[in-house]
Amino acid sequence: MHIQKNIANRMLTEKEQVERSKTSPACFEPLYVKYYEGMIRFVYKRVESFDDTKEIVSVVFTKALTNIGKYKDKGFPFSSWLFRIAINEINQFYRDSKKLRAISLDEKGIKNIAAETAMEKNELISNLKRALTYLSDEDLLLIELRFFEERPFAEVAQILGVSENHAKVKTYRVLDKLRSAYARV
Amino acid sequence: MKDYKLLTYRPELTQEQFKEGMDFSKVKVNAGAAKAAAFKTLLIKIGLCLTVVTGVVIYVKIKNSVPKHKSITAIDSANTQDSAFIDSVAFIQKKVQVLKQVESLPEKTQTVKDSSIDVMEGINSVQHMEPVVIVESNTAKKDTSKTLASKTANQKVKKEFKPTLNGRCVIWKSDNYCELPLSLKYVSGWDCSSCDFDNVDCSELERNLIALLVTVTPKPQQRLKLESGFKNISLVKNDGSVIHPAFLSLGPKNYFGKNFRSSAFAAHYTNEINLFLFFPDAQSGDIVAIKGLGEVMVEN
Repeated sequence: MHIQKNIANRMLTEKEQVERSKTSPACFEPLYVKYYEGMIRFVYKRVESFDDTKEIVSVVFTKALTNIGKYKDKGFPFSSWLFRIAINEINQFYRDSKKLRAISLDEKGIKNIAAETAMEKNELISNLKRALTYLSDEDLLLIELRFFEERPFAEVAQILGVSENHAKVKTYRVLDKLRSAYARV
Repeated sequence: MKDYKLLTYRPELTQEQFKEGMDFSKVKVNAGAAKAAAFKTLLIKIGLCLTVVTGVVIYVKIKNSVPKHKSITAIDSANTQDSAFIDSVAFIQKKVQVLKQVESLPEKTQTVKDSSIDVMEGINSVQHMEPVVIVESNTAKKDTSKTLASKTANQKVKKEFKPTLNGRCVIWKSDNYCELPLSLKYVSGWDCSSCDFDNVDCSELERNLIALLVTVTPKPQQRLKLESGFKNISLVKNDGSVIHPAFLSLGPKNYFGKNFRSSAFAAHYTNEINLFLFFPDAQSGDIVAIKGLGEVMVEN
């Protein structure tokens, strides 16, 4: 009960901060400080250069502050709105730079995917790059959010702006796609 | 298929790296600049919109200020308003009057006559024109010359008149008004609201009535409608007077008297309608005007 009350207070505080930021940009600073690190991590997982990452994150927060007046609380955390802006900015960055989209893969991610696709780790790594080419941007984002970054379905759904069940269904469809992609490569 | 760059086992970011790019003042300045740019873009868009709207308004005003060539085809459309229909009938009446008066002028005033006829050509642009009254020369005319003038006027009307009804109208000569030709296409039915049909037995039709058979192929957007007292159907006679049908038949067994009442009546048909209109008086050269369908001259 006590924890729930604390969470509610925290949410209320964040909502208040968002509302205040709509009239006074200076009030956005606590939100910037709160989400900056998470945003850097999120973008860095998808962009090779750290300088590009910083640039993209700067644009994300600039856009968030510019458009905060249009933000409407739909029951999702404020961070999911920021992540959606970040996804759009990353896509824009790759459209403008014509660079190859980067995918960061660590031990944890490889294990998760291996478990889901029932494949050997070495075989998985050697063919993963080619298998991923069969996925669309949206499919890849799902795989990254769920298996490489180990986000819960609720958070994946919030970032994608869909229901939790929808996120689950989509994730398992993408896994099927990945399995059939492995069969082809 | 899309190619990706797989980055495996990347080193974790350090706390120094996180702090390195953290600069809220830069974000604030950029956001301010972005808002200013957005405001500027908005102003430009509003300016463009205003320019376009002003341009359109000026164009419409200029277009409306030029006198429009309004002919009797004004009632060609099924959506024609009542006023347009009344104007059209009044216009035909005035045209007949003016032509008759012009024709009745003595020979000496031929030049004046010619110029009057020239004026007649521009009559279409002036729908609310007052009838021309020419006094002096008419008084000296004999009855025979009047008849002649009337005939010539009729010819003029005939010459000037352009039918807008897609079909024809003939005087139907029959000994028995109950025996409508079965080979013709009649309306198959109708939608009617608040109707009082006033069905008439065809045998009751007076023998002195003149029956006109109107054959019309309506355009896709046109509908045959009937108004109470058949006020939407007019016969403009050669002398300019206007009468409405005393009876009307939409086909065998469907004879409606003048007491017909309706708030909305629309007929169903395939592609052609044959309609019998009964007038107390009608002759070749008269003009039948049906609101929503157009006008046609009566033929023998």
